[in-house]
Amino acid sequence: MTSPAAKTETTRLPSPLRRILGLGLRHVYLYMGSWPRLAEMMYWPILNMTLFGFVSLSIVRRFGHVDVLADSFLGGVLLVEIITRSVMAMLVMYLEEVWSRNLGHLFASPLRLRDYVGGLVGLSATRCLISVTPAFVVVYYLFDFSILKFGWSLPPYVILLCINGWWYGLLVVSLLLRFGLAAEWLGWMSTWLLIPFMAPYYPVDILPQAFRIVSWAIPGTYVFESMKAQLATGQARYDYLGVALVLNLIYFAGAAFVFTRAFKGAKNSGGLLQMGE
Amino acid sequence: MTDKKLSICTKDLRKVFNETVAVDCLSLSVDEGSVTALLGGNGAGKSTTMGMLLGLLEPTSGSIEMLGHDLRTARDAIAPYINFSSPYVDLPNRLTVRQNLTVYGHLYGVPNVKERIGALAERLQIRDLLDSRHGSLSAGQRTRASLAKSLLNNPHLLLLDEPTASLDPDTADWVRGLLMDYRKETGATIFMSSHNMYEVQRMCDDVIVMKKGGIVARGSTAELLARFKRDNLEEVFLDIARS
Repeated sequence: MTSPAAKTETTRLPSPLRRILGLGLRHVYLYMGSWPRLAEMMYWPILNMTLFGFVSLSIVRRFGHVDVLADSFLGGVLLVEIITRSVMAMLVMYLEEVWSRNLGHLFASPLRLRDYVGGLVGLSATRCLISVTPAFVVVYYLFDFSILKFGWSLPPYVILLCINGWWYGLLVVSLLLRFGLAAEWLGWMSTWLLIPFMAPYYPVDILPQAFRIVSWAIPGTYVFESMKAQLATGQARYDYLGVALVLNLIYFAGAAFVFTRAFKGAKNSGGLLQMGE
Repeated sequence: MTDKKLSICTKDLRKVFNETVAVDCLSLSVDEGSVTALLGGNGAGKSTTMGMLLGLLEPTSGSIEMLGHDLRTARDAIAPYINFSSPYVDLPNRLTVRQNLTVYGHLYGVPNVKERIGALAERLQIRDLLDSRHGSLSAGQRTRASLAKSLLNNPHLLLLDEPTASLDPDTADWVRGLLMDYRKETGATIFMSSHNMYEVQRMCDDVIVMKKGGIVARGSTAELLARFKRDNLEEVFLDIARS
């Protein structure tokens, strides 16, 4: 018989990719076995796009010659969906663990905190893609608006908005880690908190001065400004996209720090053992 | 002096929640390959101790060494070799037993996950339940599924919180036999909390009794019975709890 202590000398720690795969499978299995969850993921983006698409159409028909405004509105709605779905994906995936009282099993396993964050980000990107792709198709066929009209600017738009959603999602999850399920409603509300400041459907100049300061501090604002400029002039604002990237990287590092502190706080207070329905 | 290896060694472990002291200066050592029970009434500090050993609770002060490594600085060297089961920490209800075991198989880096699940299912008699949702299982079936998860990585140290809670006497007896066989085959250490004194008497080499966050008695069942001049462990427990 081999001594267990002797066995510990040879490492068996699974690779980070395998640990992230484990976390990913947990959510893939969940969605594969629950068609209402899958349907809900696609339902809201399609509903929002349809609703705002008809609003745009009515504006065009009533006032005429405002195609750019209508396109800007539709483009804004599409890109807003990317950021809100990214945030919601992070929130929902964390809540699924809390609801099923699974956090203890997860964090007693070799899963590291950075694996968990990596898993959340990867799953959020996948969930976001599944959520918004059908909405893009619906908008194309119903309103003749293709997201592809943004050309090579589209990938940076999507990536920058996703990163914005991820760091913000990490902050929302930190809130729940620190304060438990009592803060769940705050988490849901927070998902849309930044949107008005990002000015997705209107120019930033419309906002009051105090709001504008907040607005220019959010990376998403620069993406939406670039989108509006591109629709109006045919030229994207790559300088704005550069600012968005730098801000995103700074904020992501900050959010990761806050998340680590919140996790430590939960370990101190017993939150990882007590959280659940 | 004996040269016994220790699976668990805590020194002056203390956990304070706000101003409540849950565990106070707990220094305990658990020999490799032993079956050790942690006993105590409600609020004695057993669950807090388990939580700290699992790394789910941060001690206020003190140190924990497991399998020869410091838990705070070398968690990666420990986590793949330990596992646990507790009725208070669930597996996701919407996943089937097989899916849950697959997920944790990957998280623990188990080689040949499918084969390992098949072997465990055979051993724990849950083959027919593998494709049932965890949420649809009876309490006894859930305990067996949770035990399967806890044995997935062939742990060298198995932490069990009330392993036979909510099991009928026949199944509970079967689970005890299974755990003892596992210990015999692998030389693993089992550290468990239980309120079932018969179980402790039958399984454990060493019994630790906690009260108000500290250890108040320790020894083999025979030693405790002799010290308290009692016929069974339940009477010893009651003496300590009411003293």
